[in-house]
Amino acid sequence: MAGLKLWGVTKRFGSVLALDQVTLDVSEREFVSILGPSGCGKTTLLRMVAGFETPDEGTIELDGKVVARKGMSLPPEERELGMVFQSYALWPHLSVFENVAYGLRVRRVRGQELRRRVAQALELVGLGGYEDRKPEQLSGGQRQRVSLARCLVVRPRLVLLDEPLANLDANLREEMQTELRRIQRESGATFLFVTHDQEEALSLSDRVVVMDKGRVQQEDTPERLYQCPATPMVASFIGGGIVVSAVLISQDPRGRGKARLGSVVTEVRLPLENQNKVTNLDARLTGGGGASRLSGPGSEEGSGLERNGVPCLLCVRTENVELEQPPQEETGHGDVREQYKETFTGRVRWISYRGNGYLVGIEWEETTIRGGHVAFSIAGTGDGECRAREFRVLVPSDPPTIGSMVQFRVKGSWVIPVNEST
Amino acid sequence: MDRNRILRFLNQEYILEGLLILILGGVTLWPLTRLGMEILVSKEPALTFFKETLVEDPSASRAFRNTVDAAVWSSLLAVLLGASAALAVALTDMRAKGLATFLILVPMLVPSQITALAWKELVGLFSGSGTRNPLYSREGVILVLGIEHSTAVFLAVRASLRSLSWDLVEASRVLGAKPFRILRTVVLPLILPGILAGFSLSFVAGIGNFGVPALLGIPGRFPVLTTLIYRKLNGFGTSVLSETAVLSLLLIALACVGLALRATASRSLSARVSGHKTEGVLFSLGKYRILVEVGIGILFLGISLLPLLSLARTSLIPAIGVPLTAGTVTFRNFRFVLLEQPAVMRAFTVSFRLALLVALLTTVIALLLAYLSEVRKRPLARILDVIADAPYAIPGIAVSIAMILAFLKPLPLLGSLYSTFWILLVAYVSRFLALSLRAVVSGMEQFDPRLEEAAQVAGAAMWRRIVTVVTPSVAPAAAAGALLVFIAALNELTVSSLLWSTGNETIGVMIYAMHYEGNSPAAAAVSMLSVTIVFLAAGITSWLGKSLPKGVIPWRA
Repeated sequence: MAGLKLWGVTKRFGSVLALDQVTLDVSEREFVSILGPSGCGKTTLLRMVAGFETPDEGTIELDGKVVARKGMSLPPEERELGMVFQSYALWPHLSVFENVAYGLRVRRVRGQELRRRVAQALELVGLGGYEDRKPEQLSGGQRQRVSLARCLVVRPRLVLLDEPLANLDANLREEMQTELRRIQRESGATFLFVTHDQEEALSLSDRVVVMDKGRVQQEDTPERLYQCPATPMVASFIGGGIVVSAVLISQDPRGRGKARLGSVVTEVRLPLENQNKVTNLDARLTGGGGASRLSGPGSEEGSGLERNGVPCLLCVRTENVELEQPPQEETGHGDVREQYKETFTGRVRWISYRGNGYLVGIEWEETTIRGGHVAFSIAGTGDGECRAREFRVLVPSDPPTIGSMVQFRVKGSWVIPVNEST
Repeated sequence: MDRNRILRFLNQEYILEGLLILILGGVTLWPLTRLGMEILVSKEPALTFFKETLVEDPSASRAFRNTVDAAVWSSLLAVLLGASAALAVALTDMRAKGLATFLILVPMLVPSQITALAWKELVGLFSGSGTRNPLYSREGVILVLGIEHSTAVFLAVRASLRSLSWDLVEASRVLGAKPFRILRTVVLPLILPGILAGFSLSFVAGIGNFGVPALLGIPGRFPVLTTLIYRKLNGFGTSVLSETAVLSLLLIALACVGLALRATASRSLSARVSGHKTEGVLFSLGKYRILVEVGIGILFLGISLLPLLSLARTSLIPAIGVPLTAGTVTFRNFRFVLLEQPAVMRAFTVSFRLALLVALLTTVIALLLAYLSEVRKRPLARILDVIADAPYAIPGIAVSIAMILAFLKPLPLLGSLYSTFWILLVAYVSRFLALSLRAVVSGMEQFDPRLEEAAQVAGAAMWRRIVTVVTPSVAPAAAAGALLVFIAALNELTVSSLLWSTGNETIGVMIYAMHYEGNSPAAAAVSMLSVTIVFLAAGITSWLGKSLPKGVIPWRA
């Protein structure tokens, strides 16, 4: 089993917590991406697996063998891994052949066998015949391929890739993505791929690990990551969702439910297996008096519904928002507390053309109409990753004018399960 | 299995680090500590010791005053020459700037005893026979030191001019300022740290210089600390070792004043933000351009090539005082020194062997040390870096005294190194390691650590990585550093003047001895030979250095 296992791996640089109790399980032939904003600890994690860093706490296991635990670390040269660097790190004084042959020479492979395997590796990355070139004579994409061949030639079970496509231009990057997937399948190696590009991670991987502030936020398939984000950070980082606080008022066992935002009731989706987590929060809030922290509209209204409902966070993406056509003039809103509606009313704040349509930012009127009180809050994820104050919707054509009032519905937004950290 | 275990053990970084601690401890840390102990172990407090030496020994206090006097005035002269040359090259539209830069940098390559000899011959031509050469005086020492160290000022000022953002000049120009006002109010204040750094460099070099005061100051009865130490040790042998140690500590203290000044200057220099464009023409010379060019050309030629030409002239005449004509020109001096004087051949052999060995050893040590400190970022190796720099920063004569103190007593197994070839080797390695280390470190700073990590992931152990990845990447810088060490070691005089022994004379010592015996034509011939070798080596260095990062080769900095 070419598996990689991490348990509670923690690393501090001075007072900075680079990795915080990271636990991870990667199985054979899997393509796993580690995704996160810069400074989230993803590169530290990769370098720790490679052996360039020693964990302060926790254990790393490769192929069932412990390679690092607190204060002990097998040096990189003894881990039998492959690694592809963002800068390619091709040795400028060696030819393509010698670059690729290096690892084999270290392993005392000589003569015919050496030449055969180098040729085979270069063939795999589509660079047969480039043996005598120097790295400086190659394009960025070719250097990247040599770098891949260099690490695959020794047949590592696990290949670490540190943002390998970041230095390529957009067209080449797409081509290399497909290539990476093919090479991974053909080589049969496990790929651990670090990137800050969510599209890259979603399109390439079997599984994606989202990290933030040294912690694993979610570890899931690309589909689940997009549709069912586990934390507010993931919700706002992937697919540009906004996170709003709401009150969950009903749920059924099939994962459907209703939530109230201010005076509007919308349909929501719920995590099936995590339902109890949401109710746990309810128990904690009523017991601990923490409700004031979530400035949902419910907390100040104190109606019967609020007592039945549970404060929660919603992930609203552009595809969850739907404009009502044609927009009508709103006629007063004084009595919204008594009669719950299904549509929101808001003012168009900005419009941005995106090729496939117009992205429209709409400020919900209940955000501002209540004077000094913030009636509607976009729940931040801590340090303001989500600063959006507007709902966003993509309209294919005929966008409303800036400043006009529109009505819109929100459907199928995702209820973010609440765990200890939120 | 056992072999593998040994290999794995040897591949640990701390084994390499331990090795380097042993080497640097032996050649640098121990001798310098031993020198410091000379004061610490004496019964009297250090300050009293200094005071007594200065107050009660009139020759010492005179030498101390002369040293400061010569260093300060020569540095002022060096600033005048070097800074104006740098400003002229950087700010005017004169032509042939490359040639001018080459000329002003020539004195850097010529060892100071040869510079002194050359100037003496040049001035001797005009002062007529019978009268004493006017350079045998305080003013002669100051003049030659000032000219020699003007290159250091030139380089420092040029570096600060290059970090000056041209936007600042253009901003004042747009506001209507005339070129001289801009020079006075914008350029000069901003390059002041560079001028100050140049001054302090020149000051430190002047304090420790031996060649110039030895050739001009001794006959001119202008003793300085270095020549006083030399004459004491030469006259009384190792019995006055303790006394000379105190004098050399005085020298170090003076050097530290200069180094502190330099540290202050470079700190305020590095605080400056540089813009993108740093070169431009502030002074358009117009119709006076050719006049200025000729003037600068004569000045620079006078500083650099004229003395060498007069030295060449002396090497071609049969005896002092004979005019050089088609009838008198002779290669007898060259034949004499190369074929008839076995001591000269021997000196060439010794200096060559020393220079080659030292270049090789310092390069290897520098490579390993820079690898640990720059690539592996080992904190202890960084401390070793600083220790390695010390013997080059302090006056060379103090290094010699430290070596004698450390290696006079017989060592277990090795015996006493004093008056053997080996003490010269150890002293040279200690003194010149800094030169090589600086070159290798600037090469190493350009080295992408990922290249080494890639080799590590590929399974290569430390020594293999050093040989196959790190060394090839910094090889040009290391080669340039080796050549610099070779150039410096080949003509070394200060250290070897105290450490040579019969059979182990160096070229520098030989030139000095011949001059002392009054055989100027022969001394000139040996000087010409060694200057030729140095220029060849410098040419190779420059050629190698075309692709090198900034800071590896000093005259391209």
